[in-house]
Amino acid sequence: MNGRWFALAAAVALLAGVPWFGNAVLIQFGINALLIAVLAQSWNILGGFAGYVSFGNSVFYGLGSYGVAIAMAQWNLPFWVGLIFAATIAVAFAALLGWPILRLRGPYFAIVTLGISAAMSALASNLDIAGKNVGLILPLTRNDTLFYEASLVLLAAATLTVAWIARSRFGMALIAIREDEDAAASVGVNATRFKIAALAMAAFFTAIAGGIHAYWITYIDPAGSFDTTLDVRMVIMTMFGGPGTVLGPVVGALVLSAIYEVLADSISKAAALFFGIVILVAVIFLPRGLVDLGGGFRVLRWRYFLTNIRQYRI
Amino acid sequence: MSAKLFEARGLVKRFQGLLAVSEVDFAIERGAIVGLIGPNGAGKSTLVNLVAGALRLDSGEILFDGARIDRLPAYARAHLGIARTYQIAKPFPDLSVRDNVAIGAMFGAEGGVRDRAKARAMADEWLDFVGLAAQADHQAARLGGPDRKRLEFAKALAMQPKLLLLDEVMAGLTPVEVEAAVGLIERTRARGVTVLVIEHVVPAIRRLSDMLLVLQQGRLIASGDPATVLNDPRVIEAYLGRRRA
Repeated sequence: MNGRWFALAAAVALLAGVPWFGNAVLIQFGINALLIAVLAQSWNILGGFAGYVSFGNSVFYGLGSYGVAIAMAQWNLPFWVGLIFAATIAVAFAALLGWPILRLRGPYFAIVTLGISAAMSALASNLDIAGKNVGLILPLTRNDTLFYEASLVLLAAATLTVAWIARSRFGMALIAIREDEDAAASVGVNATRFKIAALAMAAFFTAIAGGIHAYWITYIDPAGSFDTTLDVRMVIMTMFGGPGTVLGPVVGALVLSAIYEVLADSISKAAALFFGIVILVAVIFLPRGLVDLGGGFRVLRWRYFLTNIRQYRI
Repeated sequence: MSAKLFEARGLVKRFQGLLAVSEVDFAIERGAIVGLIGPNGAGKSTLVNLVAGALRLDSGEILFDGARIDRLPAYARAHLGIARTYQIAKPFPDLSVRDNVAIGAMFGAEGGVRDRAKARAMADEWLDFVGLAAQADHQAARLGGPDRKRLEFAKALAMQPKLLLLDEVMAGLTPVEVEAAVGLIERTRARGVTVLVIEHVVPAIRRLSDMLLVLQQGRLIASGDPATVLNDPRVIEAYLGRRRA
């Protein structure tokens, strides 16, 4: 146990030190990777623990971006006030949205979440305060180190929250819902309430990630903020790393971001193809995610992969 | 405190025109074991689902501890102290047997205990009670049929219910296992839990029950003391068919 804590602390220290030993390209890659890891970790709360696959979490990212942009560009408020405003809007929207759609189960829920970001993008394109189609320009702050460390702190906060969930009664409720929602209700789990709380937590962290990103790139528009490709990425990264685990989504997001970056750099156009192969292999050999390899492989060695294939009948 | 823990008045449930439960009235006294029997398709499981809140009534009233509960969702009825098992066991498959029961303890009556370590300790006691202590660390999905029923039982007991609804816990068990189940139900009652046992296996339930209810085609055709009810010609006919004259 002590060894694991030490390794974790060393990894965090290494990540925190990147702006001091890395170059500008690495820092910028780091900001993007850390923010997408926050999205994956947030998605994990409802998707990984409660088993509700959302393809709509990018709406909270967009709301976070617009919240900060409106606060800073239209009302001249400081960044931190913008973040509070952004998080409040996103959490309120999650609660409002969750009430009707979290009554739907399984694939019905997933289908309904598909259109949410596109609808919000259309709304932003028509609102004066959001700059319509043109978008908004934020005040410029050239300090990548600050954005990098802010992203790292946010990821740490999201991960600590998930670590708490994994040990709490709240987390047990989400897991019970994932395992069998009818049985969960029979033992006294108020499923709707717990699912809404999970979505609201995801909205909170996702919106702050969107807000940091908006201030960093200083320009936002509807298509870039309500970006539905983010939805696919956060789901894949969580699944790849290990859904319903504390570190899986972080490991998945950082590893896949790095693989994609290397592939895009060396073979450009074929990168997407190789990326697809990596995911396919992972799904077949590591259905419980990359972090399950730690325990499973140590015990079973190469048989671990065979066991996975057999157990999931792929 | 009234002697009646539970009362059903005029329960009706239809499935697209098919009358599954029709004008059913009955009451359960505190501390009693009540048996509910009837042929296949009589509406026994539908009745359990109505009481537990998995299905909504079309008409009628359900009173528990003197208050109407028929508009409450299933989880709220669990908080009041109604626990049920499923005819086809519904474990949380990926979790350990211990955590399955711990979830019962962490929710259940009055919302259960908040602390997970305490819930797990309670779970171990209930697993011991039902004879599943050796399998506490097994994954629930790997349990065999009879053990799944024990798990359902332990999970429901961990909720610390006032009323326990057992939906065919003895179906498919060997005679030895049926004996064990009968003993468990008696020991559960000894702990102050009122029990409604839904069963197909008549001899076992005859010995257990203080009162028997007989359901046929959604109607309650007999109720009362087991010996009298089982000699009722309508009950014999429902089970064996009409004798040729």
